[in-house]
Amino acid sequence: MALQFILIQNRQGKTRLARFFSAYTKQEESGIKSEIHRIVSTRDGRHQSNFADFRGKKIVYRRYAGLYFCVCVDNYDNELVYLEAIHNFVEILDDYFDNVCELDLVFNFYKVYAVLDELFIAGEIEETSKANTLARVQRLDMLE
Amino acid sequence: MASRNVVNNMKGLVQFISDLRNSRDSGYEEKRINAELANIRSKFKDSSLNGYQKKKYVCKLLYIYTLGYPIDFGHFEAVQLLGSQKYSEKQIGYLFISLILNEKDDLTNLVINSIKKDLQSHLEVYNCLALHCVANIGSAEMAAALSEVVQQLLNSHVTKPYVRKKAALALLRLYNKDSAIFKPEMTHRICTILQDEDLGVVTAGCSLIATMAESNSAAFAEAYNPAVKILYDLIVNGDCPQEYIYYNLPSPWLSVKLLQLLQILPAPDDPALNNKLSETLRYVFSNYTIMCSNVQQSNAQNAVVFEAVNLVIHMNSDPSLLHKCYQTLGNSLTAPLINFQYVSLEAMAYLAASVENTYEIRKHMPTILNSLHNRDVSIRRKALDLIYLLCDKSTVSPVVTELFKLLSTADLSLKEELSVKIAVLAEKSATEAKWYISTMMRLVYLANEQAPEEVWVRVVQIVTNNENIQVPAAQDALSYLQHSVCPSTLAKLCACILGEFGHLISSDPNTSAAVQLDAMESHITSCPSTVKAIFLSAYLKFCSVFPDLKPRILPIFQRYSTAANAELQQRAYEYLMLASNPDTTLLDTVCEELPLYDERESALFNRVGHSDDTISRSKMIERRNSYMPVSNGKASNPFRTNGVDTVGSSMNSAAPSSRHSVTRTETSIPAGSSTNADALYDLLISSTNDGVLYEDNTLKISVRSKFMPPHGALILTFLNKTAGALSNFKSTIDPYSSTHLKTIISRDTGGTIYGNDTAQQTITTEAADIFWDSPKVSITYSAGTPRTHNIRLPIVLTKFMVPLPILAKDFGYRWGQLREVNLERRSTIKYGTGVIGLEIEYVNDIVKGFGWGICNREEHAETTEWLCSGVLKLCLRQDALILELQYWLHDI
Repeated sequence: MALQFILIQNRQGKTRLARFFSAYTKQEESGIKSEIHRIVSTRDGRHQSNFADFRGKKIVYRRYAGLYFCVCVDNYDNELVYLEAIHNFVEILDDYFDNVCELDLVFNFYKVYAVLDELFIAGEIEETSKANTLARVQRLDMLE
Repeated sequence: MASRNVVNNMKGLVQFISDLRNSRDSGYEEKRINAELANIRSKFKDSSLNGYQKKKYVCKLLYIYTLGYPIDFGHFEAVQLLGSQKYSEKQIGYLFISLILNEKDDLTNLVINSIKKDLQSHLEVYNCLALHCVANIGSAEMAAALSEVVQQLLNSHVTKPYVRKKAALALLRLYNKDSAIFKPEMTHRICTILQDEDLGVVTAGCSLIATMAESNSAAFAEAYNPAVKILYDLIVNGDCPQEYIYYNLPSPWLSVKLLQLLQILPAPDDPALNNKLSETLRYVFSNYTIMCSNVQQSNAQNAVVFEAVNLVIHMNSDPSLLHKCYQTLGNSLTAPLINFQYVSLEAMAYLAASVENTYEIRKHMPTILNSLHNRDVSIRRKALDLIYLLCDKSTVSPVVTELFKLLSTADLSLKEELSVKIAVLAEKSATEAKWYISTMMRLVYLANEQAPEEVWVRVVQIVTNNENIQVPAAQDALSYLQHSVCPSTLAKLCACILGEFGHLISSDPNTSAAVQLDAMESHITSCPSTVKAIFLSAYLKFCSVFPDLKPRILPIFQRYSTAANAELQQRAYEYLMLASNPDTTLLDTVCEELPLYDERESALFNRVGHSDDTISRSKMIERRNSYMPVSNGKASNPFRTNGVDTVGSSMNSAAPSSRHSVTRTETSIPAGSSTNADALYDLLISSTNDGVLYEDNTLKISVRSKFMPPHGALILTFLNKTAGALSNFKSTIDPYSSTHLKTIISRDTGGTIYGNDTAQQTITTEAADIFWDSPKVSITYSAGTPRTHNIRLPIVLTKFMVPLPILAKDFGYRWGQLREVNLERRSTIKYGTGVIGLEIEYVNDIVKGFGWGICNREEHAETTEWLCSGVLKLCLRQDALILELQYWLHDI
């Protein structure tokens, strides 16, 4: 499996989205969340890469204002392509919420998961077209 | 409420979230949440709740869950929502299921029917929700129940593109959970996904094919041709719908996936096709490498470029393309963007491990060495991996000097890895015995406790097995001990060496036995008790070799025989008795020289001191995951770990068998007749320690295991069933699979298994605390094409149980005690339906197989009852457990 999990956390380490594709216990999940926060929040964005080692796998992350978007991938996977997959996801959220901010992710958390399900499932990249994804989620929003 | 386009129409939920956001302190938040949980609980008791209300409350529960609070109810309501006819209600139901449950939950099985219904619905939006759920939490049970329906969705001509792509990925998930759902006749249908008009479907299809082809690459050979064609159209012709263009680039994700797929599939012998591929790759190298001002575009381009590099390395056929790779990697190594430096170092390591001649990479050595001091630890680690692969005899000395510089400044997380790498490099590339010894001593001196135990133990092994380095080792050890500061790990090493080989240098008055004793005495008082123990053992050896020193040594034993540390006390007292016995036969037997360590293990290392040997750089990898030798510092550690108890067993050569018993191997293994991997596995974890772990047409893996909780050892025997050789045979333990379990491959196979031959491997394990996941071993080899198997090892918690029957009359009393402190659990397990019943003796065997001691067994007309007890022995805890098992022959 390519992606082990996807996390969105803010600078204080509050998790705004967490999708685990591998089966962890709840305890392991919360351990992972805090460890990831510790790893990415202490890295220096200007002089350090967007990749960090994590328990024999790799974290690819990007920071947007106060939010960290992190994905965990296999050690030999293509880091750059996931780096752009994150950006694609963020651009889609930005269009969907019309200039997205952290509050949107808080109040509409279940919709963020719905967007996520259009882009990544089974730990794989599912769709990459921004236009198609937006059209799809907006149509689903109309359904009762 | 910030959003404008998107409306959250659950007012109660919005109010609740606002409330929580306005809370001043976490105390209020908790209070508010508890009040809400109580409220929801009481609402759920009301059977007249409508769908909207249920959705709202389940949503509130989900929000509370995302804040990190445990949720232990609401499952029932969520399942009800799954059955709702409204999309938004169904959606929340599925969200709950996919977030709160995971594949291991029994509850997951309860929703299989609802999922199936939605998969078969004529509404594509329902299909999609169900497919998301299968793709995200699919289990082996779902694979059995749903894979056919999912395949129907995938294959049907009326299925819409967004359903097809999801079906492809759901099938991938199910295949990962149970590879038995794969049938050879499916391949053609699956390969046609690549011809789909919708690029989203093609992208998902690529992942599916790549995953399935990992273990059946020949079966998917027909996908090679279309994959090359799509890649060519996409990249060279720019044939790509507008919505899939990302920053002027035709879908970089699809390009990368296709390039990855081509590394898995066997390349056909078709010159026209190969030319087409070469042309595509050349196009990538000349058009994608231009730096552009937009960072997104740069990243996306380079994602494709680096995957192209990987493919070229994998094909390893066209020198001109390889040359392009060197150029590209050299350029990105010095690029201003740090991410590219990282990827470039990584690709170089792959290259270094794949090609014979690393001259082109070594041209960049100054830059790479410089990267060792980069501000980013991720870069430092990649540089270290690369240097490790590049280092050979001609460069080992300057490289190790550079690594020592890094060692003194490196942060903790890197130190362990670094010290292991220095140790391995010193060992495999050393040309001079003296250099090796002084390097290792310096390493142990600098890294001290950051170096894993195995490092200093390994030095002892090598010195023991190589007579020509025993004298310099003893000399160095003495001189380190004569320093006023000697870190504890180094002190251990020095004491061990002097105890064993100190007599070799005692004829020189400057290094006489008395001088050695002085040096040791200056440290024994200040070091930790584990080190003291080794000092005492060294003294005992001195008693045997230099009886005239006894008057100095006996008082030391005397002193420590009243030490506060019980282990030390006992040791000192035993030594005192041994050494003061006028008959020295027993003493001399105990102090006999260390027997040589296992030849096979030290074969590589016997070369230390023989400069005429050529030791080739490790260059045996097919898949990239196996070349990262030290990504976790342990899995690939070449040092064996069983038999490392030099502290105890070297002192006690009367019982050398304990050291070898674990590695002794036998080949007669009862082969299971069934090839169903899961059934075999179940057997291995429940009732037997020996059996077949995996079998296909090429390879059979048998296992023998022995557990002495909290430790265990497994011997894997690999049988090559074909006539040809399996080369590049390599196995690694997935370090992530279990955090509380330390599992190490302590003895590796030789790298190649010849036709119809066997090879063996020893794995040791140690359980620190409760663990649930069995560790996995990833086995890669090449039999014409590269193959990978991920295999669960039969190491489960119950293997660390020791039967300890208690008296049946005490049972009730003990049970009551545990119930009082709320440590009682009850559950009912149904064994299938309509099954007449298992043999009582079978159940009995399973109980015993799980490590229970049977205190009592009573058979009645309807039921059989067992009272059992045992101890779970782990390093950090020991728990006494009791079990009352009632077995009903018929449904209750």
